[in-house]
Amino acid sequence: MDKKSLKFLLSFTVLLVFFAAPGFLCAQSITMEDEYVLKSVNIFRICKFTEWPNFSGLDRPFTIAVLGDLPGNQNLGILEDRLIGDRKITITKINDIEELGSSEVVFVCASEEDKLDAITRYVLNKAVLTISDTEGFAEKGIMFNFYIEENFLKFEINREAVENSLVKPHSRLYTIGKIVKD
Amino acid sequence: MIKYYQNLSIRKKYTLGFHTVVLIATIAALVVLGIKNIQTFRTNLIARIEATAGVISTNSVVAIDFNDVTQGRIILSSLKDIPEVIGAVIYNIDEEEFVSFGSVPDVSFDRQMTLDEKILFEDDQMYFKTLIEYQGEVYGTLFIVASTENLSKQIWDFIGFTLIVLVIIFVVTFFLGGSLTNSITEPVLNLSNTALKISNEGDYSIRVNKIYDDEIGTLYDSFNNMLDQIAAKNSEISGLNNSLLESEQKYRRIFENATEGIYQSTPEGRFLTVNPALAKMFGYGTPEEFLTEITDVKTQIYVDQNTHNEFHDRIKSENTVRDFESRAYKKDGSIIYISDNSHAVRDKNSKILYFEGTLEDITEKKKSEELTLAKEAAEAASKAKSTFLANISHEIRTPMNAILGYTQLMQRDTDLKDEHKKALDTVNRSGEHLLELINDVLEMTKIEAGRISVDIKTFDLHSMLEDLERMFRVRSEAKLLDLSLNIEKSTPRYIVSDESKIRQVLVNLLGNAIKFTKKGSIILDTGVTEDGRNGDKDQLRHSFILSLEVKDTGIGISEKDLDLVFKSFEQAIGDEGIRTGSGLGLAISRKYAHLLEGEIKVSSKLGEGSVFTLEIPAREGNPSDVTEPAVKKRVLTLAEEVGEIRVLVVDDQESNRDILAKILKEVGFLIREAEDGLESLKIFEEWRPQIVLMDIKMPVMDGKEAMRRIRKIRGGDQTVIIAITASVLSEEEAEVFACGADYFIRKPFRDFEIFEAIENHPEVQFISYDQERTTDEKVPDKLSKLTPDSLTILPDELLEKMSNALHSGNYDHLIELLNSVEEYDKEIAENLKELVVRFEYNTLLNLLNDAN
Repeated sequence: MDKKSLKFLLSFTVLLVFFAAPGFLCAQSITMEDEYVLKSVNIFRICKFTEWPNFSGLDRPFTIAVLGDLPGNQNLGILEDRLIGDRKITITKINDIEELGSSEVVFVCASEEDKLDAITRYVLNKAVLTISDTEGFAEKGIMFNFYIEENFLKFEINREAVENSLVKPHSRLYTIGKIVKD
Repeated sequence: MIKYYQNLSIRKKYTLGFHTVVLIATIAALVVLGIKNIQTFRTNLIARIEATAGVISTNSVVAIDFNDVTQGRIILSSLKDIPEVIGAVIYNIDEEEFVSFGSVPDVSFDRQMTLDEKILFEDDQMYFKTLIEYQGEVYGTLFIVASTENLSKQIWDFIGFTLIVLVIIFVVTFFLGGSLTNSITEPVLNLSNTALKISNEGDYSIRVNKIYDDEIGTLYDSFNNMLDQIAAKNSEISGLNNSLLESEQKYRRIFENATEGIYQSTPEGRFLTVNPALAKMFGYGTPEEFLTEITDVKTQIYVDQNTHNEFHDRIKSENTVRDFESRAYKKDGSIIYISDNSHAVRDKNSKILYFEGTLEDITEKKKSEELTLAKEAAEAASKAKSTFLANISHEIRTPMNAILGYTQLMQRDTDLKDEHKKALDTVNRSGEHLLELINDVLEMTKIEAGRISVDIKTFDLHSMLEDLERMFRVRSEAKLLDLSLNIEKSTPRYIVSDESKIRQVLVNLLGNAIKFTKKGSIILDTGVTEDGRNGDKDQLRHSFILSLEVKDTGIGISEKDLDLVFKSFEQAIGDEGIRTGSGLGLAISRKYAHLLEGEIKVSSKLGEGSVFTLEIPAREGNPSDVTEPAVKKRVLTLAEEVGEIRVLVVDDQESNRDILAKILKEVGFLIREAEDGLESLKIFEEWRPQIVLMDIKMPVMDGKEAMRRIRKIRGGDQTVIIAITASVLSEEEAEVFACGADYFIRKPFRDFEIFEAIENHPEVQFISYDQERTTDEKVPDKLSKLTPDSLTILPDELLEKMSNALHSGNYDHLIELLNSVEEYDKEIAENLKELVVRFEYNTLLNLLNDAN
């Protein structure tokens, strides 16, 4: 077993522990790395309960593009090779929204705050789910945006942004996340 | 149970049946309805829970995945809208309770999950489980428990409702059904009671009164109609019974009064029933006595028990026995003949039940048959005797031809010495006597065979008597006897009777008188008694009795011999033992007398003479009816004026040629002889005889062929041909004539026959003295019935055989064939035999040929 696979296995063991606890526990004591593992897991959950048009049968990986740089050199690598439907997840790093290609998800890092307008315009009416973890980004058009409240990792949803795209998140996600723009 | 039901009264059956049917139908309807309700309830509950569970499953996926217990509770609480739900729980993928709702039974997850079915109804509760899935991934399990108390309550409510309905229905049907039952059962009971009453009282005039026009009404009509028919049938049967009774009485009377014995008996041989006639037949007073005493037919009735066995065998195999004759014992042990006509009566399996039939006492018939047989045997014997005598006579007559012929020839020789003449006279007399004897025998056989008929015609009685007197005078004078004829004045000269027979009787009587009288006189007296000539001559056939009496003073006849004198072949031997003649003369005389419906009597005293009296009925005749008797000539010589007459004698027998040649030479003919037909032709051509005497049967060339050829020779038609044959059997007279014969003479011939035939030649003329000719016998009338047509009933083959037998002269075979003719017609057979006995062979042959 290589190092990557071992890491993946460990991360999910943590996830199981995490799931055993009520809510999305996010203790202050946890490290930056743990935080992004937790965020990765939630990205995976959101993706599971979201539908893309013409999703099944495509002979290519389910691509999550990371636009910009994650703080502290973090990554979403824990999601590599996990399945969404019958497609394996692959993580790519892009620096410009134009590089998005056929990626199903784009994680917009805080570093891209200045290009946010252009990004939201670019994905408008496209089958691209936009996720971020930067305060205020939801209001500015990102569909799902993680935030920490009372040591719990939560997310908010820009419903308008969702409805202006071609993706369809499970309705029950709206009951879990906080709606920022209806 | 079924039997109990079957024996119930119709009313009870109907009530029970009606209520049972209503009850079953109602219960069935309610049960179906109840089950339907339960199913509806359950289906409804399941549908509601399934619908809600589906929503919960879908909605809880995200909550489970994000471990959002709050959302999970919210989602699960939607079950509160279903009042039956007691509690629910969602288990996550790790089988740990995620959220729960209400009160869930304290049962482990494992227990819950081992429920076999998705839905289970148990103990007033319904258990429901479903997996929580999203896009093929299982997130957990939803388990719901619902109460079905409502359902139980509904069921109990329904049962209560059902009972109430049943009670109501029962009450309603009790009242309604009762009246309905009455409307059906009462008419039936009424019918039943009426039928019972009719059955008990036997009164078929009772009728049921129809109430409704329904099927029972129709049944009433049919019942009444049936009663009508029964009454009619009863009346008919009563009539038939009376007829049967009458019939039985009638047949009983026939049975009781029948003259034939009627019986029924078992196959084992015991009589069951006999009628009085049968009992009487066997000598018993009553049928009862007979039935009591006769217990075994075989031993007590049958004389020959094998006969009984044969009767048994036949009736068993043929079923019917007709005219079965047997001998039987009567009560007194005497034997009678019985004839049994019986048949076997069998059951449907063909087993013999009994025999029944009639018995007839045929003892008298049997005796009569035996007598008839004896009589027939006697007659046959007599006939055989007659035939034998006739044949013998015929055989004797043939050589007599030579004897008499030569004697007559030699007597013509005037140069004979006296002693030779005497010797020749003796030979001739002896021959004549022998011929006479034969003729007598033949005559007698003819009489006995009934072949002599009377020839009634008018004749001169006086002349005949005088002629007789002349005839016998020579002989009487030779014995120095006084012969006198006394014709009484009242005796008519012309009478109507059979002259020949009367003459023959008188010849016999006078001959005997002279023969047996040594001295004294012989008187022939005539007389008439019972003179009825004053009456109508034409109508009085027996107008008087002619009496002719011959008295003599001869040796007489002893009283004991008087009865014998008229019997055939008997002679009364007088004291001097004279015994000459055939002994048939008086027998023939008496037969003739009888034929003429008269009688011949004798009265005599030994040594004093006899009186024979012939009495015959006769009537006076008319002189104009008298036919002159033919005369036969005693030819002496040819008349002087006659020239040379050449006669050719043709015969293969030298003696025959010799006799003919000598007779004819004596008279003056020129004679040449030929041995056969061929030689005769040569002589004829060379010598040209005026007369030919032609034998028929000859070697080389027979007479027929010779005659045919002579007739063809120039001048042959001028010649008189006289055919002479000993056996007419092989020669047909007609054929002989057809071959050219002018005359036909049979052997043995008398010389006068030859002369008569020759005299027909125009050139021939004799010098002769006349001699009265005896009257020929006539063919009996009955023979005239024999015609060729009457013989057509005989088969052609038989006719041909008889014809062949005649031609070949095989008389024995001919007689055999004639016996077989009896099978076809007895009378014809007898008549044909008559012809044979009479030597009428040519007549017979003509008949056969015409018939064939």
